[in-house]
Amino acid sequence: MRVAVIGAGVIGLSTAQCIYERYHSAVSSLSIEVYADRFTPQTTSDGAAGLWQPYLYDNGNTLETKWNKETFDYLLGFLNSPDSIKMGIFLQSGYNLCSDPAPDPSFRDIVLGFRQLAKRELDLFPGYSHGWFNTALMIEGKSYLPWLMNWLKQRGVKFYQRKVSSFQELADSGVEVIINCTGVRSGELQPDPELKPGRGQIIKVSAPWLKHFILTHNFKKGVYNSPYIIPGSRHVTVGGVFQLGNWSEQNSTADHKKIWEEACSLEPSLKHARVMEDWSGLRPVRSRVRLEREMMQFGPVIHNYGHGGYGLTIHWGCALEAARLFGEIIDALKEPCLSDLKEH
Amino acid sequence: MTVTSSVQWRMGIQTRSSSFKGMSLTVTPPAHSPFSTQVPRSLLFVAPFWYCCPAMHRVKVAVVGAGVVGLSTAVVIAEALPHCSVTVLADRFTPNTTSDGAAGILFASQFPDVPVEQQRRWFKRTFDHLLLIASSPEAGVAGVFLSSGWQIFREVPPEKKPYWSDCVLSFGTMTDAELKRFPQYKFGQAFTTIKCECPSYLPWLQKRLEKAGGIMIHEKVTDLAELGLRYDVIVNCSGLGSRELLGDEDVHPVRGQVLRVHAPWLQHFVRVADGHTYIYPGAGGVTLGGTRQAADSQAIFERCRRLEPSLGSARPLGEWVGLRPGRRNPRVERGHVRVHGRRVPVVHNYGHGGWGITLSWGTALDALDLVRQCLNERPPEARL
Repeated sequence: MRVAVIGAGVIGLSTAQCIYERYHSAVSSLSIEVYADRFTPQTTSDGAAGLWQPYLYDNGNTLETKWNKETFDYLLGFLNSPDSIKMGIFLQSGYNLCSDPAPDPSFRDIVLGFRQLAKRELDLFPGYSHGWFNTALMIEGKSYLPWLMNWLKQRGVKFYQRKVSSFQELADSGVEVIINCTGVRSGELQPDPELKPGRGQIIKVSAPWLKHFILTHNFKKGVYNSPYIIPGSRHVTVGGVFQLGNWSEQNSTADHKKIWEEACSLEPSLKHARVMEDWSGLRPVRSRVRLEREMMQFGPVIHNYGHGGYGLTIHWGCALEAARLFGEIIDALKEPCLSDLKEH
Repeated sequence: MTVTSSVQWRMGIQTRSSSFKGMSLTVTPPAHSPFSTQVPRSLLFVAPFWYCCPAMHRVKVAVVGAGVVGLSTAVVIAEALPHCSVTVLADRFTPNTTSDGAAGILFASQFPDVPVEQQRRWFKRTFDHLLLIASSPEAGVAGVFLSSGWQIFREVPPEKKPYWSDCVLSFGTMTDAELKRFPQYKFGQAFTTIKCECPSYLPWLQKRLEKAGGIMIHEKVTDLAELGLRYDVIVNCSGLGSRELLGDEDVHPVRGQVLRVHAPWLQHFVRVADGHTYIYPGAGGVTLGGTRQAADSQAIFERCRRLEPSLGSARPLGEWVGLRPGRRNPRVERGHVRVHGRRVPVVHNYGHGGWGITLSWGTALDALDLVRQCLNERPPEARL
């Protein structure tokens, strides 16, 4: 059975991995192919800092909170394994700062050591009156994606670098199930008015004395539009910008200036940091993740896109769900009457 | 007859190449002094004449030792007492002091005989001073920054909180979920403290000392009485050197051996409560330790790797062995040395064991108080 995954960011690769793990022995001659125009280190996942942290509030979307938790627990399990650094997984603690009092975030019981910030800690961050400290995980795309690709290649998964112009094109070539992990450009395959780019720009700097993430939240400005500083294994990522509807992947000098000034206000020692380079990326923003199967005229498609700024954070829970949907497809194909539905 | 020494300047530190034994004296002028004096030895017996020009004479303070305690003490005195000229004399300067090899995590155990309130004051004053630097633009330059992590215990300890638990930025008990990573440990503390890296901090202190008018001289001090001929007050921060310099047999070397590795993904410190195994990530590498007796580096590495398996991917950078100035308690008190029938006051500030960096600023402030006391007790004609 030929299964095609479109997209080689963290969503595409982890979904391929999860489906392979669960079904390669159950489904005879399961062959998985990954199609993408961009591979690591060119994907959106590669540019992200890699901090595991969902948006502060799920607004009732408990399914996404469940997927976030599944991802956290899954990654935590790799911490003591010899592969953890190859995968880009390590612990990091830090500060979430709010300009006004705010309810505890939806991830408070998922992360480690979650607590309110004491006054003495808040005094370090003038302008922020409330906040939390916790220990979370880093999952760096620049390590994780190569690790995933390697894992898949070792198991015979084939990779094709090309832009797929339609689902039909793949179906015509004999692909039986399509997994659509095309992120921000999903609209090119199937129009989706709910999907929009959330442009982000970050500055990579060298400041090896910084050991904590610092994320600020300004409820008037909206998510990711106030400064954040996230140390990584290779450099520190400084952001944030969130421009809904902006498709530009070019770095903007104006954005650089705004990010830098706000970050230096937050962390004065950045004054002596060495600026390396800027990077811009497009978060695939949607009111909720689209994770469902759709029966199209040529066959089933599983959609797994629209993870906004929390793709790395939620990827494994979504991969598990996508694999579950794949299982439903397999089961449906086993039912004799459903082979009629296929031609419908 | 005078002997002029050839004076070389290297990195702002004056190196004196001749000795004074049996020769006339050349008095080293303070950096910004309007005059330099070359005086025959005989005149020194006529002490009051030294002070005939009070407006031009500054009280000469010698600080012996240029580790973290010596430099902190010198800076504190130079900044608080502008009428004093401060000279640091040492045989070793950064990066070759004991302080330079230390990881520099602010942490302390309790000394048996010093009142806890005093130890707490030493810790708190050092912490608060360093926190100001850590939250300033200079954090990276001075090598002073926040560090979070865990101390883990094999058995639940009777004292769950050390005396300094409210001095660090945050302090709490580890949750069960956090302890899961360390299955052989039953209890843990999670806290945010400061890391103060002396290879950066000592040069930063040196600059601050120079700004306050202090100078540094590369000279091994072997005789406090001889020093007392040249200076009005001596501040002894000679660490392990006090054993020989004063004959203080309570000072004994406590060996520390550490490895440094490149593992830039490590952001938290981990310390086993017995003090024999620790992992301290810094700005330039991770310090793995440590030992109080000779042990092989491989053993240190293995113990740390058991706590933190990702160390298997770390790249070694080097090893270092240092001798902590161990003593039952630090000696922060006044003394004196007899010089030709006079008493030259000495303020002692040494014997900090493995907690030199942690207690440096607080003990320096206590030493300053003692220096002030000494100055207040000088005979009237001998004062400014």
